[in-house]
Amino acid sequence: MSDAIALKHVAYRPAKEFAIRDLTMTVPTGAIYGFLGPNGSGKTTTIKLLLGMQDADDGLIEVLGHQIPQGAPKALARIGYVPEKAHLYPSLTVSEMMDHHKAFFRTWDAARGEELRRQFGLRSEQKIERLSKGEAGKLMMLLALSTQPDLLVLDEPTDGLDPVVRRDVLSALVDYVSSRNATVLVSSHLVHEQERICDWVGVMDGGVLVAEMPMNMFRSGIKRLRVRGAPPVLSAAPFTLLGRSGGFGPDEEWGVRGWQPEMASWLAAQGAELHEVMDLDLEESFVELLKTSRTGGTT
Amino acid sequence: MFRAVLATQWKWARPVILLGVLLAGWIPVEALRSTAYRTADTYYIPSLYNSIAMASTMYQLLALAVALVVAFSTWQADSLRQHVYALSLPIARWQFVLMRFGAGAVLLGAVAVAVGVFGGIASAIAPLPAMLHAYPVGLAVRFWLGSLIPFGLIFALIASNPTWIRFVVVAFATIVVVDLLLRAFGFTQNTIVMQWIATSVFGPSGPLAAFLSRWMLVDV
Repeated sequence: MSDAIALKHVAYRPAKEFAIRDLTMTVPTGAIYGFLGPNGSGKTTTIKLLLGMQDADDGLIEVLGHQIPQGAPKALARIGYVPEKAHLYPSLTVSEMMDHHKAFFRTWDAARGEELRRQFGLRSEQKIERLSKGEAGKLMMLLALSTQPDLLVLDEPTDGLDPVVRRDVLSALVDYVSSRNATVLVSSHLVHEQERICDWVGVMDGGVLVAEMPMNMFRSGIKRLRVRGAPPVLSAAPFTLLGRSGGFGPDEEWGVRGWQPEMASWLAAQGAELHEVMDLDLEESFVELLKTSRTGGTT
Repeated sequence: MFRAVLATQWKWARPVILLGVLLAGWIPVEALRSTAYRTADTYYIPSLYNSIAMASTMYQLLALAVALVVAFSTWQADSLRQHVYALSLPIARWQFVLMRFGAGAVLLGAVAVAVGVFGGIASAIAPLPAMLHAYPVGLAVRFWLGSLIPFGLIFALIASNPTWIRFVVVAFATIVVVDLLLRAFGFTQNTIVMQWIATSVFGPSGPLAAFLSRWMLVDV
């Protein structure tokens, strides 16, 4: 499978106090890639780099087979982009904005645009400056989907939207992706939402990609163990210990990565009793991963 | 694509363009009004000439005002949102900038056409003395080219990055303040730097030299 997005050793320092460092990231074609990370971790900056809105100081960026920033116009013709904040012209009406967008995209599907406008409950003559946050979010999604893109880049598309609007936006996205083998890069800190729709995940923190893998591997790879009687220092553990804390009574709770059931025998050999192996949801895994990356642990 | 860009800029600059067109109609009427009350008085021609010269200044002010407002309105919506929408369009940056500039030039051209048309109508109706001739087309071209210069300067300044804009504004303000202080404390008799800037900008080879010449609708 070829990659829709490939960043290799990308470096970029937009400010003294923040930098993207040696970023290597791949989004496979056809994947729905959840781009996770706390606020200020570099997700939006990375997105701007791969869209050619900012020029990297070093490294290679390839999107849909085009080198960025040189090939950005050709790549952008096949990308639907929904930014973090509304970026549309406030004095235009919904239909004027759609007409303006249509003029730049040869692939614009007018029928689909109208269908989405009706589905989202947007009136043609509504001025953009008078749209609510949810309506503006829907309009941006409408513009992105009506160009029939091969790649959708969504930067916090549902952030601040109420649950009903969020459901509408996500269902339009899922409909589009299921009808067309499009690739989606969706950045968010709403971890549960990503868990529902994504099949790949990348985690960014402090300008560094701390993990990138298929979603199922991410979910199943990180576990919480309830252990009793383990020695204070572990040597040559077959898994990565992410964290260790007191639990209920004499038990300890461990966050571990790379856990396999047969590793229970290794614990027994250390004189420890394994009482429980708990699956973590994506949010818990995400938090464990960030804790580890910030303390310099191995991921 | 150009039509789409032009449509947005028309929407943003529409009030000032329409006002410019109205003024372009009013200026020649005001300038040539005295021809309706002409007498055999020998002072008639000089007074007519003076009112046309006054209209020249009004045309210049109109060109400057329309150019500045159109330049500011051209980038306002993009600047407020850090140009994110424009940068997400599948078009090279230089092409987008060129289209924005071209659309601004077309809008200024609309006012210039009004200057030419209304000037032509007014001068055709007004009974001009035999030795004076109307130059509405020449005036319209001069109006358009003249307005493009301040439009281009402000357009370029606003289109550049905020750091560069800050640098230009701070540098200019510093020069003006230092120049005024030097004069206030008696180190110089005149504001040397400001005079030099004025000469460079408005002097015969300066970019705004056209604004010191006369834009005459009627001349010998």
